[in-house]
Amino acid sequence: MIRKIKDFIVPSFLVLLFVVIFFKWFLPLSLSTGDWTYKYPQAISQFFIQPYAWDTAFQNGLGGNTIFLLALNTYFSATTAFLFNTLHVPWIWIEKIVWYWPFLIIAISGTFLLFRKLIANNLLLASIASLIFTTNTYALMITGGGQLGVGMGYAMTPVVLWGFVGILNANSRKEKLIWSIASGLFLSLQLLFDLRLAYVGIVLVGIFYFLSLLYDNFFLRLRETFFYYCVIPPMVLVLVHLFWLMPYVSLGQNPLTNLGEAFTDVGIVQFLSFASFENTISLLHPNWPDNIFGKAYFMRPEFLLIPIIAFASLLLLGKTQKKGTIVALVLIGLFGAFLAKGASAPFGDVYIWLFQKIPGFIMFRDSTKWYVLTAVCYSILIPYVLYVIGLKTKKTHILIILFMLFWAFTIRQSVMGELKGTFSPRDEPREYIELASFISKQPGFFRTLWYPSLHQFSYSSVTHPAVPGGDFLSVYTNSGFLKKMQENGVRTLLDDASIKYVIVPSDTEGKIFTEDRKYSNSKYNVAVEGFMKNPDLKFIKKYGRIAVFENPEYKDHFWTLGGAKVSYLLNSPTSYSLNLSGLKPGDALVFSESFDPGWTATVNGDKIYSQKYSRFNSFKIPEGTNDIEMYYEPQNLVSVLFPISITAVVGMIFVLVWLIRGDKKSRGKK
Amino acid sequence: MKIQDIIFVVILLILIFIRRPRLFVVTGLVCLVLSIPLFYLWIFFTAQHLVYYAAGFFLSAIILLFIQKKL
Repeated sequence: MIRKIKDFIVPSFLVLLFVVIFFKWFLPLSLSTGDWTYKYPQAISQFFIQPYAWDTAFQNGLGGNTIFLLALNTYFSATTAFLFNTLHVPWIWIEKIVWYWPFLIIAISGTFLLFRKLIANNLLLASIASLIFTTNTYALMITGGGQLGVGMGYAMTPVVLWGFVGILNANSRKEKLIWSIASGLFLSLQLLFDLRLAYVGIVLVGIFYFLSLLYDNFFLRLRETFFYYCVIPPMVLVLVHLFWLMPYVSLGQNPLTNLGEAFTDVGIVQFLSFASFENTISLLHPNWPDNIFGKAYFMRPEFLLIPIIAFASLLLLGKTQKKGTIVALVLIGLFGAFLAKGASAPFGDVYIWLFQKIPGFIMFRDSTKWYVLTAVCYSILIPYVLYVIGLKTKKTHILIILFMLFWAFTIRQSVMGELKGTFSPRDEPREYIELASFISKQPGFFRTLWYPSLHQFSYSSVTHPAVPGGDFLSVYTNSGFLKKMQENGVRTLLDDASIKYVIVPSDTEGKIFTEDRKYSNSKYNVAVEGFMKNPDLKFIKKYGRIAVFENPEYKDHFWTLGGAKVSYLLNSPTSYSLNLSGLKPGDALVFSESFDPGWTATVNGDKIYSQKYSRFNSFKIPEGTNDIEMYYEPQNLVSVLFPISITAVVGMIFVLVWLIRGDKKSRGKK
Repeated sequence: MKIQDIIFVVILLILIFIRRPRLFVVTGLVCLVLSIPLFYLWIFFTAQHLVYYAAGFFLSAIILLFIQKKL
């Protein structure tokens, strides 16, 4: 009877914890916050299912090459377009079906499977592993802040390790091949969601492999497993992502350098190193629990019990076969904690050196991505400690309950429902809905400039991209921005950039107009009054607290220096058909998307390449021209390779199913 | 070099001489345990350094485990 009660109470408490933390992701409310912007029906109707190398909303809303984000963008755009346009599912459910619920499913099941593969077939302790991985402060802060691309990449990490461990544990060549192809597909999926997390995933399986070999018969195991571990998965990865990897390599551009020093400078690494070593080793996110950028808190000592339990695993190695695995996980966890603190002490210069010298490390200006290593390792090590002590004392259930109580105490803000962001869902603000309707009903192309920055409910679409004002002019103070707006060059820039409306957002979250990280109404008022006094802008209307000003002199998406009449048709984000009339000799056509030499204009079969005009593209068009085809050339390779990638995915899944069925049959015969 | 660092180096040298990985781990865990009240009392410098030392002891234990496995 007591046994039955124990068997009921422990899982119930575990489920209850998950429900209490995540139930708000199941309500019919919007989860838009911070990086997770709201998608209006009018904007979704312009989404594409095919991948396009150019995104009109990229690079501060002026458009840019997004080849390095193509896999993620295609997943986002295609799933949303399919669910909305075909099945008529509203956005507030699409975001949950495509992102939030899969995050939970993958994070929970991935860690569950990994624990069972690495340690023991104990369902309860495997569930504790899932609890640690899914509800630690790092996981809650990234998902709470709406970083769902990172979140999905994070969730995939244990799945990737599970696949690679499967290769090492496989007994036959056929089994190794199955795990090898599966690992390649898992890694491909992780790469789809986040390039940086895939990099972390590769580092994880790389170190794990090396340490496993070191703890075994190095060269014999290397010979047995190298092909399956180090050759097939990368081949699968390249094949699946061929549609963007090859165009990216052929372009030879580093997209980060295009984004400026804020992404590549050493200073930004030092600035973004908010986490201290005591934070990272304790799996405590520095911004926990408020998740306010840059607002780090004093160390919470209770979190230090987490590494104490995890590293106690080194005392419980015994003579089990898990010894090598545990030592490897401890080392990787420690390594992750060391990297996640970035340039902070101790040995902060090591991170700076890695950032400057190691290929790919430039992606980690925000070092907290390395928390993933520690999270994965602690998720296995802590239940392992409970498992071994439980075996010795026969008190596993009590240990689990005590641990869950402790865990619930560390993340009590989450249990009590005090977390903000996606953990405080809300209805769409009426003022933003009305503004979206006002903008989307207007024909033609124009941009909206939001000062000082976008709100998560700002309307943005292919034909009406939103531009963050502060980033657009690189000015972040009220007085500086308002003064700059009246400079001649800036006025012309606004016109040339097709900015029709300047909008001061309603700061519903208190994160836009802030002073000492608190909402400042006076800052909002100064901004509105400043634009009221601007003679080049015409006040249109206020939607609630959103103030809208019109720039009557704005230009269209295409225009000529000589004033010729241009009509055009948007075929796709990388293709336009134009018709010109009244073209004067020596006239030039301007295309108000960020300058990129990949844009070409085809006139009577001849290609004219783009030249820089201000921030935009321009083309010297021969006199007498009527019809022009505007095209973004890197798209050619994407269009050719995409079917190959799709075929590769389908083909590999087919081969995998065929191999698994064959393997099961042969086992049945035996 | 502060007094804490000197004590750390002395203990590390003693443990290296003894060469027992478990002792490294226990010392590391003791460092973490000792840092808890110090963080609670906002004695950050020593508390932070105890966490660094703990990591150092764990790392030494792992290195020793690998060496002994190979030996």
